[in-house]
Amino acid sequence: MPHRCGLHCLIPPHVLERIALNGDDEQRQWALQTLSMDHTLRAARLANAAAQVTPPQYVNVIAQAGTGEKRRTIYDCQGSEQLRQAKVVRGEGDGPTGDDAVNEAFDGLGDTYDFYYDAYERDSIDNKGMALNGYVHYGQGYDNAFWDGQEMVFGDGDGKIFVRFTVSIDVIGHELTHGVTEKEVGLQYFGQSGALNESVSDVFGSMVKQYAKKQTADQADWLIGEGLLAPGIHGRALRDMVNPGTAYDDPVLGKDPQPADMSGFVHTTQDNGGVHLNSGIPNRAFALYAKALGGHSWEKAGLVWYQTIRDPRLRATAQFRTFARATLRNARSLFPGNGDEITALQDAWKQVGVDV
Amino acid sequence: MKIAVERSGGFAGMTVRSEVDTAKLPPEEAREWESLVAAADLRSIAQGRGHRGGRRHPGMPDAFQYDLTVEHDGGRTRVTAGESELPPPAKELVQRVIQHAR
Repeated sequence: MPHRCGLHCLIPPHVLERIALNGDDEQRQWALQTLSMDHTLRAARLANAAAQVTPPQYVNVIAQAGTGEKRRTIYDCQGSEQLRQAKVVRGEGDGPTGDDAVNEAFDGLGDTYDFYYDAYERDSIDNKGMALNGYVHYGQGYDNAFWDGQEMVFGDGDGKIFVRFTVSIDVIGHELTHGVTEKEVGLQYFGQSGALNESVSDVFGSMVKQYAKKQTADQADWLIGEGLLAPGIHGRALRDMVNPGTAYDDPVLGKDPQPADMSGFVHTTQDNGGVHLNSGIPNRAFALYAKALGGHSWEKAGLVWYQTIRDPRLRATAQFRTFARATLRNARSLFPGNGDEITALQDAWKQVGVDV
Repeated sequence: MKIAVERSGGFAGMTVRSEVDTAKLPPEEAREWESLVAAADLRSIAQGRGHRGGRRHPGMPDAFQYDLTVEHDGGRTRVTAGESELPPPAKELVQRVIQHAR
């Protein structure tokens, strides 16, 4: 073994990151030097987060690392549910087509990629520049959008209840984030861990919208699926993160069933155990936290959530309480002391009835 | 024959319930539904998933969950599955039931 290849060769990056964040000055310096060898932007980001300043020796790392190049492809399913028969209609570098769904999907994937790269130096879904494939015009009047493990799929809606699912940028951010969650903690899509998976997608989906509009937490509408309900339906959106349960109230759709805190937790076998219902609880905790801190959501509250889903100690079967405690642990690492970043987080979880 | 479909989940998380009662339909139409049900082969889907009604596998993010119940001659078959887990004939059946009820 070459002399220069010491202990660092054996230590996984996430452990080095912990040391960089939590160690004393000497340990931090060593961990940062080790991390900087792989020339990742994430190391530089951690260096900044740990030291709260930009150390001159890492400026070069920021300048060199990462490509930030998106690789988007939009496919047209032409009303079929067979993805393999879809045809390519727009690739990276191609100009807009005459099809709104194609252009919205293309732009939404771009905004989502840019958000993750600029806010967290994350290079696509897998942090390794994974290609982003979006499929539009899936099925006949298909009232849905989903992530199938490899690509994002968008229906046109039936026109009576929903319009096309590409119309809301946060829907696109939501779907892509399912890919991020799957690559990181892999929260099981059932019960509380599934509701957390859903909530993480809403949290980052909403932040993609806020980022694209350059909004602060106070300016944001915190709505999911704004513009998705067809004309004539009584509702503002599908979900309201600040006030879960108030997004719509319509004779056809009924009333938004999301609980706003643990007292309304829904026990059901539908919807993989209510993953789209109980997600309202952690959604509200995040929105309250981000609003309490003020400024851009992604800079502090979003960073805490991002570090949490990347926390090696968070399990795929995490429940609300274990997730909440993990957010607190990561907030303490990112923001030493007992400042607003900690007390506001404790307060947010308390308001939704989750003990931390 | 009664064919009931409950579709839950999806990005919107809204539940839609639909039912077809073939006893209330003209004989020709009723026979068509019965052949659709036969083609869907629900028993083998239920057995293949190793459960009766309850869910065992975590789902695919934002995919619809279908809960399909067929009552016929005093018997009852129930299948709960994500949309990607249903073979094409069963998917055809649930989509036809939802369209019929609209």
